[in-house]
Amino acid sequence: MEITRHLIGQRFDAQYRRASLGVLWVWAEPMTRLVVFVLVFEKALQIRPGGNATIYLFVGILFIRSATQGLNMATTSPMSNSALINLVGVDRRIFPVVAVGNAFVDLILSIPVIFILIIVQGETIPFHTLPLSIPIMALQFELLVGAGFVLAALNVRIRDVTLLVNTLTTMLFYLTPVFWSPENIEGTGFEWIVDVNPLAPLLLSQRDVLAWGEMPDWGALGIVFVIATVLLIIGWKMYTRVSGTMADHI
Amino acid sequence: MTEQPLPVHDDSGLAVELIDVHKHYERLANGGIPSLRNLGREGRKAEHWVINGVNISIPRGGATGIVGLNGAGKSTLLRLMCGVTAPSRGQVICHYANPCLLALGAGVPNVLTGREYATTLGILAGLDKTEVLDRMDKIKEFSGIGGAFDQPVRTYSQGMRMRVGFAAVMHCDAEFLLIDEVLAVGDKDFKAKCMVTLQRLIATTGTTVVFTSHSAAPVRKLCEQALWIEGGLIKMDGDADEVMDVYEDLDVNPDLLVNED
Repeated sequence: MEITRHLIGQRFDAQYRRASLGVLWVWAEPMTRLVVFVLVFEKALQIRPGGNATIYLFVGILFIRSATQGLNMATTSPMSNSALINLVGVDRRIFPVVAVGNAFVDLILSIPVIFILIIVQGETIPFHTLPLSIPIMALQFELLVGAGFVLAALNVRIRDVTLLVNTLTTMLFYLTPVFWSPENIEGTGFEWIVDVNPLAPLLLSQRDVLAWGEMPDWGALGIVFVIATVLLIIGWKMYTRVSGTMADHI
Repeated sequence: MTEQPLPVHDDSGLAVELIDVHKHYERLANGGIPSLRNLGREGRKAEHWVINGVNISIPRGGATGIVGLNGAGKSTLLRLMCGVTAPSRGQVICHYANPCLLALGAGVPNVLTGREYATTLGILAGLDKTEVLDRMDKIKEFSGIGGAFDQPVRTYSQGMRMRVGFAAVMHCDAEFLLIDEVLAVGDKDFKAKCMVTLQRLIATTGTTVVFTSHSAAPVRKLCEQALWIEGGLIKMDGDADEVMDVYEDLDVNPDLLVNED
């Protein structure tokens, strides 16, 4: 536990505290993305996802960014921590968790910006549904750690997985309702994209509780919970199996 | 540094046990990079056996030296003892929760500063972060690298890395220290300082030390017992001086001297 906390703090220090603008960098990247997205998707392509488009885009950007970052870093976590893995018999299962945790630190630090944006846009902050964001985030954490364990375990023996995951997470950005909504694709024959992607209900639910003040789709979240739990159990087993001799392969 | 006896976790009186331990590494085709190609039959692993069935019991407290030539399996033995890697066959039982391995090259995250590296080592040795930070001045002083302590480890020489690593574990109540050749890169003064500190730790806190070496001198100085490893097997073990007497008498392979005529 102490070492997990230390590693998350150390990465945070290394990334932000030493940079001259510090934590502002956490916000700089999604904000610049937001500007580009508003221009491209809302103005140029005229995609109307429903609700306030700027807020819609920003919540989408934050959560998908955290998810893809977490997945990519968890997948390569045995390699990026090879120094520590070769140092002691420290429990290697902390590394994918630390990777996803790092991405969540960035996410949580960016959430106040959502509220600033809501105020600037003249909308109201939905205080009555805000607390629900926490269990939905916990569910996203579970899903990503589970997937992270599976991918990291495979990556130890098949280094191609790093490249595969990079490709997949890029696709995931377009296949998750970040800049479009399920209503936009109704009648296209591609509605199933939302149904097979466990990140879709998570993202839509976060928008409901953080921005729109509506109740999330509990049924869909229930299915995500089942998927996340199964992934976590399988991932834990796979990762535990390779962790003993991990140092020989990285 | 607390100078009290360490709490005993169990009553076996042992630090680590290796029971019929075998270890092999895989030699992959494709330049050793694990990839899809290695899953096919022809790209598959050639097994390289490094440890071929050893039984070792290291007692709690005191120092044990492991000697042998390059490739004898000394480093692998240490990695097995502290759980960095698991045996291919047999069983390793380590009776300490936080063994500390000091090895050259491996284990130094290059982006960290010396201070951060020392902090990580201290936490891995089982201390809280605040406890490590309290001892940081002593660690910095012991390392003797001055202002470089707050520079990235990637700018360090091997000697400086070793100094920081050594300084950290010497001040973090490490109960079980495994030292892989690192003393060899220290200069005379630092080596002497480490020897004295190790001897004091062993005498006052009951620390267990296992270290590998090519040469007999440090083993004679520090250890009561020694293991001589050759070809992944124990060639001789017992009283340090007795084992070292035989080890030092070993003739250098005459084939190696042919070109010098």
